[in-house]
Amino acid sequence: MSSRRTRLIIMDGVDPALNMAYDEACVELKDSLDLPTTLRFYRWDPCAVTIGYFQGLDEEVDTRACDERSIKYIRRLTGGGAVYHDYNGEVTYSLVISRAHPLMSDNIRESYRSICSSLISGLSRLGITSAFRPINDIVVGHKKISGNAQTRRKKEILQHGTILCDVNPTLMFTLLKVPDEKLKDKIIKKVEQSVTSIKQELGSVVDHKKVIESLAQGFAEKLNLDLYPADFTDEEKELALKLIEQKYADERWNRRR
Amino acid sequence: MQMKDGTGAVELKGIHKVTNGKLIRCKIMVDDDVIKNITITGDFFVYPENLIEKIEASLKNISINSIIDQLQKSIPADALIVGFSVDDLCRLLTTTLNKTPPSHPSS
Repeated sequence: MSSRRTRLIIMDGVDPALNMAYDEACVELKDSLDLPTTLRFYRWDPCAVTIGYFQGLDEEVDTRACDERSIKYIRRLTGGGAVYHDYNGEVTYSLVISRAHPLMSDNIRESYRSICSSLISGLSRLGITSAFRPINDIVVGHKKISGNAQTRRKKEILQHGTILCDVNPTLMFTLLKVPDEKLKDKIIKKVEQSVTSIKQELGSVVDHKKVIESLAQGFAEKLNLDLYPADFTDEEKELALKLIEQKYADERWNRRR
Repeated sequence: MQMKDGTGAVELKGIHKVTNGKLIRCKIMVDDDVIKNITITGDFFVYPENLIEKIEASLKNISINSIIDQLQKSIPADALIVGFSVDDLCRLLTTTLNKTPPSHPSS
């Protein structure tokens, strides 16, 4: 199969544990099943908080506030920070691609830059000028519009991230803890000044389908991908269900730190 | 911040935001100047991902005076840490351990 052929999987509201399980199943099985590069876009239903692999759940998340709002909380496979995934507030992508892809690199920092260039291209198609801010952010001016996280398994790279369509800092900091509670109001104000969204930049809401379409075109252009609509294989779906049971729905995983 | 458990061990906590980097936290359980448990958390990236757990395991049951030396030995040359330097982590651990209260004779 041509190395350019890329599965494009578009999902709408997906259970948070299943979202994480699909990403892991795909990167685990890609090499052994000789699967093509895979680009997935998805949203979260119910809404959820994910924390990075190295974070402490109770250090980062007010789990009682989440429980009161039926918001799930899950530890990701990837590092990075805590993220609130609002069904209407963002689009999430995941890319599973070979380390040997001509535009990938053994240098992890460079591969972040390379993959993020796709999102920058996608945002420019919506009329938003953005830039890569190392280590793993995309900014408009100095304001963050996308965060990304990468892991590697054998010969494959999984990078996933969010693009903010709309932001509610007050809700975010009801669910996410701040290092110093006394500074909460100050931090919320700081977030309003340091985080932006598609709605904020363009002055109006953009339909999620349009956002996904633009981002997909960005990936196709920057990573030279030949996208075709597809679904996960039965093997990936089966592994994803096992991963939910063994990991993403299990307190021993989510509370391991 | 420090808390005591029923055995007399003290839990020390530290936090540090690295300039242009990530946030690192540590929780160290110390008993009689020996590290009984240590957890290093934060929004950083480490490759391979199991390195943090290996570092934590290597720092258990050692004297607090050996922690920096042991930490530096436990990080392989080909590890990639994104968001903090080894010096940042050393500084955090040292600052946190300096919160250890002076030991008192047991009653």
